[in-house]
Amino acid sequence: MLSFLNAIVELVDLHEGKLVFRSNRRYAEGKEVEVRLALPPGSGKVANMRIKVESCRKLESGGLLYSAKVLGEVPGESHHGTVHDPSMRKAARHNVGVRVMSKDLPGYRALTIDLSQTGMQLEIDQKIGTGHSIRLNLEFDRVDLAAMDVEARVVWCRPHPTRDDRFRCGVHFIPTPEARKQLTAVAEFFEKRSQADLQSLLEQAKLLSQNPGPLPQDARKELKVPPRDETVSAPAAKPAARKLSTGKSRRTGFMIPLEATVRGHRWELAGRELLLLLRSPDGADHFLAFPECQTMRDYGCCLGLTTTGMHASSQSPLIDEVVERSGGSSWKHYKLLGPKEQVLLEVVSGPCRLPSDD
Amino acid sequence: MQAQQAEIVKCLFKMAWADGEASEEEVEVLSRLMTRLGIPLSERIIAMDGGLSEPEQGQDHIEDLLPDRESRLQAMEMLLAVCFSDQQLAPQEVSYIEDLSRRLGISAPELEALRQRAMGALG
Repeated sequence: MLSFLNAIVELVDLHEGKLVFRSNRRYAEGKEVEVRLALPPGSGKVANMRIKVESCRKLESGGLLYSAKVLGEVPGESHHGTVHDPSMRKAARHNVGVRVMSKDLPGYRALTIDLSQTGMQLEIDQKIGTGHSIRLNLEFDRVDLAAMDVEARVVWCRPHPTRDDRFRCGVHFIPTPEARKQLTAVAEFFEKRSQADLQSLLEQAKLLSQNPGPLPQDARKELKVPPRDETVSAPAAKPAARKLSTGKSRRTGFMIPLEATVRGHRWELAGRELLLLLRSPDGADHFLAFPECQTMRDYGCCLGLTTTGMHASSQSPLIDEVVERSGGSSWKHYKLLGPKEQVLLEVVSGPCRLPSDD
Repeated sequence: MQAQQAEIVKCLFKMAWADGEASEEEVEVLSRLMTRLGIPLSERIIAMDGGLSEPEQGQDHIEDLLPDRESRLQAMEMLLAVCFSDQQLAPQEVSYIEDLSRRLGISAPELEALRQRAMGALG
């Protein structure tokens, strides 16, 4: 009734029932309060909102930054506030799927939705209480990023936006000095990779603009691939040359037609061998090994996706990076492609072969 | 991959590379033929990765590994399917077919019958 007496807070972000706001006023974590905020931002209208405060931290620029769950009716739209304060986000957030193991997590394992130097968002099987400290082990599927242990605090947990049987939670790292160094290295790696991905996209866009056009559809008429929605965002593959004159020289890139389902992959860090499990249309499973694997990029979790071809190349910017880093001269760059020629998985390794223990 | 399969595959790659080029159509047909030969998926990928990276250099001994007439005719039909898949017939490809026909003891009328079947299969 006296809601006009409630403080007006500054909207930072409102998305899927999660409110991030700035205020000078102190709200206790876990407490349910009513706040007022300009919604839509800049409209001059003020909305009352009942929230449960999930986390709070001080901003370098002054004031407090809160994360809260909206109680009652959740606005359907996402809103971004007009507050721009660099200290609100301490570190860049990267949308990467990293495997996380922990005895403190329901199901003992989780996959990250995003990751930053200061925390991450996880997808988990069951709800988890906020405020708890949990011990996490992060595995990066890369030889140049070692697995690491870090303590973290659960700052929020809410139902998955689309799946009833899943939850998402946000954790804030409480790192030791050693873990902090590792997290810095991890953040730097993903920052570099996002820059490299952008560069790669730009290069491919340039190549595509010089190319007469995509491959004709009838080239794949024999491949009876069921249509599926594109769920991963990945750089488009460079179209294969229709006919490459080579004489006696090596061919630099070609497409291997496939009709298979990607069942999963495992990177044997000790042997530096990436094992890919494919299922052929007759239902048989086949392992393919990528020895001395230097780089693996999984564009979304590729489990269960259909692949229609593998592009193999002995020259690419990614190979140049590997040569610069590790030396060697016989690397191959493989790209597993989906029905729309989108890249599902990228690997730089030695020439593929049968697993050594087969 | 069994020795016979491996030798046929080696010849298929030699045929694809005979004119110094392995076209996309030849690669598609090669892939289908390897599936027909019953070569498992992973072995097919490995063979194609190696076979398409550079031309097959070694001498084949297909006549030693395919003693019976039926398998020789089947192998030649596959080779012709690769040869005609890109609608272009190069002198080197003709030379390789002639050489194989002689080594496998396939007569001119038999070769023509195989060619007709291979073309029919390609549509």
